[in-house]
Amino acid sequence: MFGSGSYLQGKRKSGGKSDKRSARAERHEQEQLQPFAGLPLGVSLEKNMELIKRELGESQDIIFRCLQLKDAESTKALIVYVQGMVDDERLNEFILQPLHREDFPGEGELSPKGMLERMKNKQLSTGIVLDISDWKLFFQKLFMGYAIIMLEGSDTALGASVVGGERRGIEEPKTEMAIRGPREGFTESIRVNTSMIRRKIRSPKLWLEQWTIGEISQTPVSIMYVKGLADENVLADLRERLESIRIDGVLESGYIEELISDQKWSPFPTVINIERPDAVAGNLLEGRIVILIDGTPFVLIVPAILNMFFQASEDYYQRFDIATFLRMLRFVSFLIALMMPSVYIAIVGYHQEMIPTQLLLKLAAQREGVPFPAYLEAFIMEFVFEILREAVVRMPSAAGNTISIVGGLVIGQSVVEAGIVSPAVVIVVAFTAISSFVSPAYSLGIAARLLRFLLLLAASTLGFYGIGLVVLLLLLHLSNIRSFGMPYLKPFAPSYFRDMKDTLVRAPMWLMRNRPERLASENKVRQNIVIEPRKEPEQ
Amino acid sequence: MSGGARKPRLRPDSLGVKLALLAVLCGTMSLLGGCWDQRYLDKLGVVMALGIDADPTGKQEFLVTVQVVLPQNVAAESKGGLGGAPVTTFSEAGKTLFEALRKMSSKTSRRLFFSHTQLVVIGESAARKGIYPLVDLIERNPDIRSDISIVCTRGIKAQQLLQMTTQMENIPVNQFREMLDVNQSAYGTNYAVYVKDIIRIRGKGQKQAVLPSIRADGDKLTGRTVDNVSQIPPAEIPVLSTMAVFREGKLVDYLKPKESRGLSWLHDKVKSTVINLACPQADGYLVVEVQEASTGYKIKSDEEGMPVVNAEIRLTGSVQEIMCPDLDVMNEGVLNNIGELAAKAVKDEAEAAIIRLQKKLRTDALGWGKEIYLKAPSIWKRIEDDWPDVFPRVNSTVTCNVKIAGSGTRGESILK
Repeated sequence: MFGSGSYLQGKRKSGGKSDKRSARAERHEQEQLQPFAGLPLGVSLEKNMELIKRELGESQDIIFRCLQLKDAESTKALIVYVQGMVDDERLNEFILQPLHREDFPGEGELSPKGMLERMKNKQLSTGIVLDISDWKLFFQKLFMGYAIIMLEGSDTALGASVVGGERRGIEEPKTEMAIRGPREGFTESIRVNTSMIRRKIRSPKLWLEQWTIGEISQTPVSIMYVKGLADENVLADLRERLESIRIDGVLESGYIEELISDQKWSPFPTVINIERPDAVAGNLLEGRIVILIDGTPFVLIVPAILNMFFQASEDYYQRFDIATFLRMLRFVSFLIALMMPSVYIAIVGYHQEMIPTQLLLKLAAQREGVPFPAYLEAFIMEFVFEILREAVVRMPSAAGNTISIVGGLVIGQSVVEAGIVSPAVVIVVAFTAISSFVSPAYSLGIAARLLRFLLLLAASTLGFYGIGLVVLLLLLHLSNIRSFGMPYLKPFAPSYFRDMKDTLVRAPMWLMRNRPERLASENKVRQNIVIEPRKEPEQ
Repeated sequence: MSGGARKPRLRPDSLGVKLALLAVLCGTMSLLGGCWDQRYLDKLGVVMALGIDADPTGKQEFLVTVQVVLPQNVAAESKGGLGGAPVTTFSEAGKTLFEALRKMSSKTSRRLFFSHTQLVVIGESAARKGIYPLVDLIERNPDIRSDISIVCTRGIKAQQLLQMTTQMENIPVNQFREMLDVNQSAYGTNYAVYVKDIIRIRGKGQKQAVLPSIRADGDKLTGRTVDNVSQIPPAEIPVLSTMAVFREGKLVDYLKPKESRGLSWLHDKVKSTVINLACPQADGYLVVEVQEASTGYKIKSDEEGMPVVNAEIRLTGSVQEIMCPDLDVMNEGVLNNIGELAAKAVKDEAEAAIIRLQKKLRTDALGWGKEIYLKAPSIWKRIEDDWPDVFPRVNSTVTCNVKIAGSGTRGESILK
């Protein structure tokens, strides 16, 4: 909760530290691909091949295909590609066959460079063909799935995109199910993902910018936004944050999410991840920015405020009345997931006068002969549930039935029958568990999951008073969080009445005339956090 | 930390200082909790009712009885239930109530817990000594609610009533409480009085207290055993009697049933009731069920400046049972006629209550003093000091309007 302010000051005041930091970053870069930067390709095919083999440790999946050009027999050509990263059919059809079959007149008339130019213009029929003249680009393109064509006597090579290979097809998203709405979810391929977004928003205003992030992994990372809708300040901020990332590898969007978040010490997510193209398109149209990372179906959206975590794309496909009902249901079940065990503990341990007499007697009858105090019971059962939940996520699906039988029957029933835990606690824990799955955003569910234990602790030591204290602290914290300059509790605090149309209620489409207010552009104090790679967390 | 050498150890705005401040704040906040403590649910004896009698031995002032729930016996299906009585009682004598209650700790294995107490039973003997001292504890103690019902007994001790087992409700207190509710909403001879009402009448207006009363019917010895509830009908049952009238907090008398309902009419406590009427032109009876009732007061003053109280009772009802031949209830004139008869019957009851309370008991349990205080404060100021003497001489009128809205689901009588 003190993250933003002191962070900025800390940065400003310690200039010497940041010098040291950039020196370290430079060194880190040099260890990686940088040695090749600016190093030109050689003229000799033989020597080039040798260098590749030496640098790549004779890796077996790098294919060197030597061939003789037709009608130019003295000029040797070499095609290099990585097996599995290229589409074999396209390689064959668009590169190998044209080079093999077609006449290649004019040996001696053209320099090797001229021959490459001719190849590029006349023979290679792939979409992207580019000149490669230094080793850094060479290796980058090689491992992106390009086929690289080199000619004896030329110090440039041609890179032709035949990116392909086996990847998972488009399937229904696994995490954000919907009854009504598109059935497609993002895949691991960034190009497929961007195309899926383009298919939703066919506008020239939909712009894309791309970086390669990860010193070793060289992962393509794109941002997409609708020009004119997205806030330029947020965009500049985001670019700065992305560009300052220095990390070995980006294997999932979680890496980027953690590195660009404003709030490094908050359980609440300030970046939202989404697996549905339709939801992403909706966010783009509201002026948010999308970050796509190659290799994961989860794309990131910034700025993300609390309210967004309660919105499901289906809300907009159903009538507003049922959508509003579901919204409220989600808010309520979030509160239940957060507070129900602690409220139970507070009532049973401190505030017995607050429950109806009949309920009190029932609870008292259940507590009769139970060996543990109520709060310990709740802690145990919550913990058991967390174990069960984690087991179900990680186990092989074949063992699924065993877990549900052991978890549901043995633990749930026997523990009550043996009189070790009172049935009320089992009911509370089960109800809490179900409520926690109502939230459409998994990442917010995690916050509730962790904070539940904090609330339990407060309730078991201080009763409702403790719950009140923690809730107060949480509210303080929430109203302090910003995501890329956007207050986390917007539009509740600060209040934007016009934005309330898409919060607890989902107003009818014909009433939602305005886009959400662009608060960030009015916000003078932005949080330009420079990303610090591999840094020990400050305090 | 690597860069820490150049900055001072503790900056006032550093995270560490802020966290420390936060911890101090949280720590001090926890001191503001006030009076409360952790109580284990299974270490509490939930007191459902509090009974107060005058001490029969005469050594102490009071004999206090608590009815405590045994949760394991209430939920029959729960494990470990011994199948015994759902409640038990403890009695203790003492000079004060609180002392007696605390002295009970020498008999109970659990701390007595009063937040769910639902009923205060004042034994007849204690009621005659005065109830005002008894409600002070309930009002003063933060644990006991003051919106709980208070009743007095008739002919038995509070202890006896609380020791009785009941059949319809597992927990006897619920039987007493629900009995009162049902009677109030279906017949109206009694109405529930709450502890807070007793406290409120101590203000301006010099209103006198009335309490519903409960007596016991049947065999005393079997009444307190579980056998009582395993036979049909039970050997002993609690029965609602009539309202008991207090003067300055001391029980003076019980009303007759007719007067008791008359008091309910005048206090606007009747929700629904039945009025028996003799048939207009023949032998037999017919019944009007009252569905809505409301009572209002108007205060005027006569030539001598004395207040005149006008009570106006408005009822809506319908004919629900006809035992007379040839009564044409389809005729509106007949219905109006029945309405007039019903109005007269209600007026009779109200006047009976007024005569008993005003002329015989000379006790302002009608709350007229309060009505005058509220509606004609100038008159009240003049007569306030000798209200007990003025009250029996106050003139009053009762008017009653009954609207008969229908005759049930049948028209003409099947009696020819």
